[in-house]
Amino acid sequence: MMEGKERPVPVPTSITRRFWDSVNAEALAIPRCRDCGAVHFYPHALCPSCMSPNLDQVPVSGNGTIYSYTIIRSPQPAFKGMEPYAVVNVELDEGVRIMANVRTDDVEKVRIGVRVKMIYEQSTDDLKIPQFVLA
Amino acid sequence: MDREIAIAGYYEAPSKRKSGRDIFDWLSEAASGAMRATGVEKAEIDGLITNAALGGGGSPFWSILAAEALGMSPGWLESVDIGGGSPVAAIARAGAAIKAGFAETVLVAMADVPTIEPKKQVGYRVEFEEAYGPAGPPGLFGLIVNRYKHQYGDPGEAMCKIAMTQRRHAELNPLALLRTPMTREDYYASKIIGEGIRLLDCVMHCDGGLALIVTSGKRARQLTDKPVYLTGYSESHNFDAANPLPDVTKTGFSVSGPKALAMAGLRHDDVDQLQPYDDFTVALVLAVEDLGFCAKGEGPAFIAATDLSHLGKLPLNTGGGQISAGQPGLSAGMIQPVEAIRQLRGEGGDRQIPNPKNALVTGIGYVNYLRNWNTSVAAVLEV
Ligand SMILES: [Zn+2]
Repeated sequence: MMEGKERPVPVPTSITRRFWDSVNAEALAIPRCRDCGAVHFYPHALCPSCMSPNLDQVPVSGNGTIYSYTIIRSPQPAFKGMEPYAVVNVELDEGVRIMANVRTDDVEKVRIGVRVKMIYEQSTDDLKIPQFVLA
Repeated sequence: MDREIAIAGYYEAPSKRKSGRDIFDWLSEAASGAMRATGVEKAEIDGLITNAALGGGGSPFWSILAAEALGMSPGWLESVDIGGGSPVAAIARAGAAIKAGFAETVLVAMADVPTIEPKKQVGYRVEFEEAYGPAGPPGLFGLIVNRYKHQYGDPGEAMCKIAMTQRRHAELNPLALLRTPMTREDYYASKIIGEGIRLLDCVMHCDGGLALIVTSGKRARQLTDKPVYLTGYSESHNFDAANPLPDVTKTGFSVSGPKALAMAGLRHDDVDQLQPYDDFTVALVLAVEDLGFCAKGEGPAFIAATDLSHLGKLPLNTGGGQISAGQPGLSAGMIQPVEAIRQLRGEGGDRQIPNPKNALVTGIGYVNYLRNWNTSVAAVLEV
């Protein structure tokens, strides 16, 4: 659990660098297995389905549906002042789920089944992160 | 399972918030307490098992440091790192070592100090979760509650009943930290952390330590006239791992629960007490379903219809659970087996269940990325 006052920033690893490069290029791509065809998220070094290391990246449309959500009303220190804000589990049309926020002035509209569209948000000078807005 | 893995006695240190005490101070109190309770001498203990902790530095040499802190020279040594599932799993691992002949008398000693030394997360959580401010486990469980609500209806009333039942039990438990009576109004007036999760649905961290002695059935019967046996055990990790679109309301208890009961030869109706790991009230709604007490989606109706008090049909977390007793970090999973053993030995005081013969005890560890919890440990204890 984050206890600090600074907003956490993703630090790419040897496994995830390729994914973050796709985000920085505003063309988010998800891992897909060349052997069994399974897609997965977040990026692993092996296909979680068949354990093959032969992984490709396939671009996504950025369109998805909210699978679940919560509205944070008592955030940890780094997020104080932003509440209420929505944390969502979005099911992308390409068949994986991803955690993000929905950027909206009306969190009451963030509900299961609602369609959303990916945007890219500048997290640090040299790193973007995927986020969503209501479609 | 035969009656060859036995618990000879236990000790639970009174937990405290911001204790300022070193983790090995807590571990030492727990260890010596369990030895005092059983009359087991240091020279007899030939195995030691402990838990990876949130506080205390998280050294990769954890069990070695524990042996050193206790001045012990065990012939078998282990640390378990499956989160809140570690303590129940440690009892089973100790039992396996005993059955294999690697040790005969194992000290299972757990401690943690999360309120004086919280540990930062590592790995994918930092990269794929924390930038979005999910507010830690309460937010992650909020995502589960709201999906559950969508699929099966609002579990809120069941969560309220669980919180109130456990608080009532905590009122009767001198070791519990939260003993102020709780009304329905108190529950619904408690602050919303994230939609779906109120403050009174959550555990409160504290510092603490608990320990017990696991030995062979034969040795336990010499040490005490009230041995408690591990008669069923199963664990499930990383449930539905390869599914990119899992049902987040379904847990590994659907695998480990029925297996543990079958090993003990018990049916659900036979269970005299349910002592399930409770980090959040909703975890118990999912647990009663997946353990098989009712069908999926019927947890709220089952909870509404069942008397869960210590005098009821299915006594639930009779010490108040972690939610009302306090959660001493990753040693907290020992609260459930210790309370079950206390009850089986007839040492439940004002909250004693009338003549229980068995208990179903569980442990839960970690929450996976956009899935349910990782580790689902289920154990049956019997006299
Ligand atoms: Zn594959």
